[in-house]
Amino acid sequence: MKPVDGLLEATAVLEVAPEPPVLELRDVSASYGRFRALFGVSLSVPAGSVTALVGPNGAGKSTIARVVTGLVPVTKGRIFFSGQDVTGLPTWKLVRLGVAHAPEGRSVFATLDVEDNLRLTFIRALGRKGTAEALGRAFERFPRLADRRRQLAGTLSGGEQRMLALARVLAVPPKLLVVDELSLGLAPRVVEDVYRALREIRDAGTSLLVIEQQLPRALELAEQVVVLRKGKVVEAGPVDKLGELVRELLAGPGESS
Amino acid sequence: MTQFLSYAIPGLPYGCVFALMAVGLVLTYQTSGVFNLAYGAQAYASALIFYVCVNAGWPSWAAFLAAVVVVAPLLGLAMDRFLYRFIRSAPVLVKLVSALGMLIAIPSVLQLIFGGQERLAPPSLWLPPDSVYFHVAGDAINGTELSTVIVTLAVVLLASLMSHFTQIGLRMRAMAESPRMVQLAGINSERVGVAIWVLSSFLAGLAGVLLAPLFAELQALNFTDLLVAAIAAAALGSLTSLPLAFWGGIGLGVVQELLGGYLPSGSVLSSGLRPALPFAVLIALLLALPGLRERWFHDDPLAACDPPPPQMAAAIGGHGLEELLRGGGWAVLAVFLVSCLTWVPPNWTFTLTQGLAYSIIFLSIVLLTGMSGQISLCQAAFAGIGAFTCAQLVSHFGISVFLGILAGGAVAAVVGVVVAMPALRLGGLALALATLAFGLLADNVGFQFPWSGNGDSGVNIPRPELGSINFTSGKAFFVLAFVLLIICAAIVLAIRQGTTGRELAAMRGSELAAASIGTNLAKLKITVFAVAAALAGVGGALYGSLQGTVSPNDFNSILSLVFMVVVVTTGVYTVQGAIQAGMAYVILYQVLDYLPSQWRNLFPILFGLGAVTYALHPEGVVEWQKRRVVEIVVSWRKHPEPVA
Amino acid sequence: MALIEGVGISKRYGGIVALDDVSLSVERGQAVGLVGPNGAGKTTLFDCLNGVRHPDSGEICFEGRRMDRLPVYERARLGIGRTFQRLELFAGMSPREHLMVAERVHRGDGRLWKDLIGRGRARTPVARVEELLVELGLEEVADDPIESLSQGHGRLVELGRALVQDPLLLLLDEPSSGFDTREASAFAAVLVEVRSRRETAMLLVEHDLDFVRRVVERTYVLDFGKVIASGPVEEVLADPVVRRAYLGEAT
Repeated sequence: MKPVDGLLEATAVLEVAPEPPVLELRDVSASYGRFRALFGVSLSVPAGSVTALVGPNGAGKSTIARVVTGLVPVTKGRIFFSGQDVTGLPTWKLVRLGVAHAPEGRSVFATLDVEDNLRLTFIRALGRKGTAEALGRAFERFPRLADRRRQLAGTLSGGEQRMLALARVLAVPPKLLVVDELSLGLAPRVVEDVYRALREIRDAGTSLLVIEQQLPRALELAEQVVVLRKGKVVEAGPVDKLGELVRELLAGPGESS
Repeated sequence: MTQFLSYAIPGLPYGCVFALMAVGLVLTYQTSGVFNLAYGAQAYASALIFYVCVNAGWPSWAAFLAAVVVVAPLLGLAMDRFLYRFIRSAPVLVKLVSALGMLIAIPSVLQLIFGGQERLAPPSLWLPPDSVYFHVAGDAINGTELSTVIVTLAVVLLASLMSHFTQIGLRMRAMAESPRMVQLAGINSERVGVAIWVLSSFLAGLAGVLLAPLFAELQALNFTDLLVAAIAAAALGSLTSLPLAFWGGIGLGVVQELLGGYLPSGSVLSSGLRPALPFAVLIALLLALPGLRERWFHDDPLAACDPPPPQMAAAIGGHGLEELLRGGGWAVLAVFLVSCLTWVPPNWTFTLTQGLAYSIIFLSIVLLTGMSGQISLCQAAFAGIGAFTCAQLVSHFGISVFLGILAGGAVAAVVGVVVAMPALRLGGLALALATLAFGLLADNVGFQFPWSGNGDSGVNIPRPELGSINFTSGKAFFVLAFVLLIICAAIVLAIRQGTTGRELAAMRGSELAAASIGTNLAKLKITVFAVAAALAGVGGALYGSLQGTVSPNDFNSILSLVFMVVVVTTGVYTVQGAIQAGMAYVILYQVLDYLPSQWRNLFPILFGLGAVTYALHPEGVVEWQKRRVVEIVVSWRKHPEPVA
Repeated sequence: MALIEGVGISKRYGGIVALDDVSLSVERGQAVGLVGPNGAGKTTLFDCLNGVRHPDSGEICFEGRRMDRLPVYERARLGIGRTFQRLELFAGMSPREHLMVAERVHRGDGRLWKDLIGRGRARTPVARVEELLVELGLEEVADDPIESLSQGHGRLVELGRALVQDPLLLLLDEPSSGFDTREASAFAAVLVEVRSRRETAMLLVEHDLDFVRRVVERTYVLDFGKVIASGPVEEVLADPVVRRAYLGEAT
């Protein structure tokens, strides 16, 4: 139970707000058929903060993202969103409550064009009038997308696809955004752009749960860290009070990048 | 010119119906990823209900409301709730097989409810069929034709507008790629899924009611034949473009009538070319259109959320249990063999021998679908080729029946290569469609000549003789069939356990990676397809020799679909699966024979619904139940260990 | 003579130029990097070398032989192995079976008649496969279902599947993708080790510059379908043009 204590302490220290954490997992387990992926994970994301989820491959990071967004069912435990028990709710209801998710890999509709990709989210959230306005703003913010508004999203480069995914989020700011490996396979310059957009999203008041392999990147943005290993939380706390384990993860020849 | 028009104009109503079906197919495929082979069956359902209501004295608007506005959408709703919602992210071929199950089951369910009597002169929907409205180029345009054209144009226009300019249309298009991502956009994907099926079923129903008066008799088979024309039209639009599919349908209808008009009536050319046209068009399109290579069809990026497929029963229990299961299998086989040679009555020996012949045919499906992930919908046609080759060679050249059976397999293999060569390059769906078309062509045209299947009169194959041994007795022939089945099963097992089997497994896992380790995919697929066709040919020839006389009807195109459905129901991954399928097929048929004739329909219903389980339990019903038993046994033996 | 040499490779999709007159070469036993921003044409170039796509113009020679029109499987048989950015594994097969099937195909045992007379049985253990499983540290998971393996093990299986065929050239597509810093470093060590033992030439697409530094001797930088720089890694990365295009730094 130590990890949870550490986390509660962290929230207290930061004195974020009296409001409940935007996301809280209590003793959550999950599995894919016969393969179990999470074993009693507890963690929380304080409102208005950025939490990084780190750990080696197969530790269950992506599974947490999928559980939080209802894509993978919970076998045990409960999930709270802004204090409300949302365990077992379908994904689309969670999204309407204010959870957004940019999944790993391609997170846009490859067979729809750029504008339709945006429209799909916008019409639902903003109505017809709001959509036209939001489209305008999105294309202003991401001029590269404006050039390609009638191009199928599947033909965009990896970086442009991420931008498209983030443009969707920026126009309709959620309470919580879960990003999974956003920098995967991107050139350093593009990663820079992606993180700039993430900061914008945070500044608009969205809490972030960030999954990132490139630890130094994640730590630039994050206020707290949760370390996972083999489906369990092994450590959690504010970034500046990192334990031995995280330092160990950080060590190695990758520091300079 | 006038003559041209007078031939072309009557083609328009047909073309409209093709177009309506094609648009429905494309719409369904584009939005749900289901290539809905049951579309014709759905159309038939509405046409039948319309017929029944009108004959019961309902006014035709009320019958229309019942058949098209109420029943058709309800059928779509049911298909979505009970089937398609569970397999939204399944691979295209799995969905195709599920649709196949519906195609087999729906007409039988209807016949069970409404009876299977002849239904002549289906009523017209709207404008009276006998009144002539005006003449174009000497053709009298009657009410049926006029209403068909008007309604089709209106519906297709509305469907296209909806698909491209409305919110629900956008959502539907997004669904095909990933229902999970649609949910991530905050949209209730279930509701969109229901909408897709309700709408597509409505279109099918409308097409059915419009189409019915064009036939003299209302029959499910008419609608299935029509499907190939609709598929060809849809292929013209690369299975994605509504307008192209529409014009493709119109074009096909017109060209078909033109051919009928210009070719001398009553000749083989005119009777053969018309049914062959959609097939020829489909094959030509498959070859010519690179867009058909499924490139537009993207994987669900969130597919990783699905649990991996369960293990086979044998793998769960460990080595000891595997041995036990295998030993049990041999024991059952021995009991079976001894029983058939001793106490089983002759009519049942005959039935079980049929089962052995079917088992050989079904082995071809195990090899093709279970082991290499290809779907062929014309295995009955290959069986027919085997049987007719054997019959012709034996009767014309007097060769031994044994040699005839082997030659039947060889010729089937050659034809198989010719059919598969173009389609195999294009991927799974193209092969399934091309073979479906080939099956219909063989059935309607190829087998009708005196030198092939000799039409309804059929051909004779005597029982073989080997020196002094004569296989005319039921038991002797049973032993022969048994030995042949063992040999064929051994061939399939050797392929599975050998390098080829491993390469096939690799290919199913990832074609890209299989090629990158040096596997010649095209050659591998064609080899397997040829071996499968040969197996089917041998099985068909054996079946023919057992029966004594066989006609094209013994190997009709619907049977190919039934075969597929039967094997995937019992188990398509294993050799035992094929044998279980063969036996289940004949035994069930025999048992249903004891019941009143209407209950015969239970047979396709059972297997049709069985194929539906393929999506959820691709390992087959038998294997699935076996696994459940094994899992229970294992949990008794020890507590399950936690998996990391 | 270079092991593989591409001269003037161009490829367009519709109006978009993916590769514009690209030339590159890899000598026997050499490790060469290929870096550049997203959409620069790296994957297209890889696909052209591997045979998944065919270039519109240009020549590719392998050991001095033209091969730009050969299909994927024939190039594999010439000695070009490949791993994939998004893992391409054989579902339902264990790591050992992955290596076994690759080894069989390599030995040319995939003849149907050999299976039919029982010569092609795939179950007999093969010494080379066992050695390689140990060398890559896969022996403990050798018989696990592939679905249960971590991504790291998956990458090793892909590597083993390619290596069991004794390739002369290994094409590695973003080998560190999906790894954290430590795992990437371990995988780099494996590659270095493999190269020192077998002298396999390597060409790798990679974004992790530390990874590139550790593994390769020389690198090409691609931008907008053109080679904008090539040479020793440190030199190339110090080039201001490269820094602007790739790292996004102002000069």
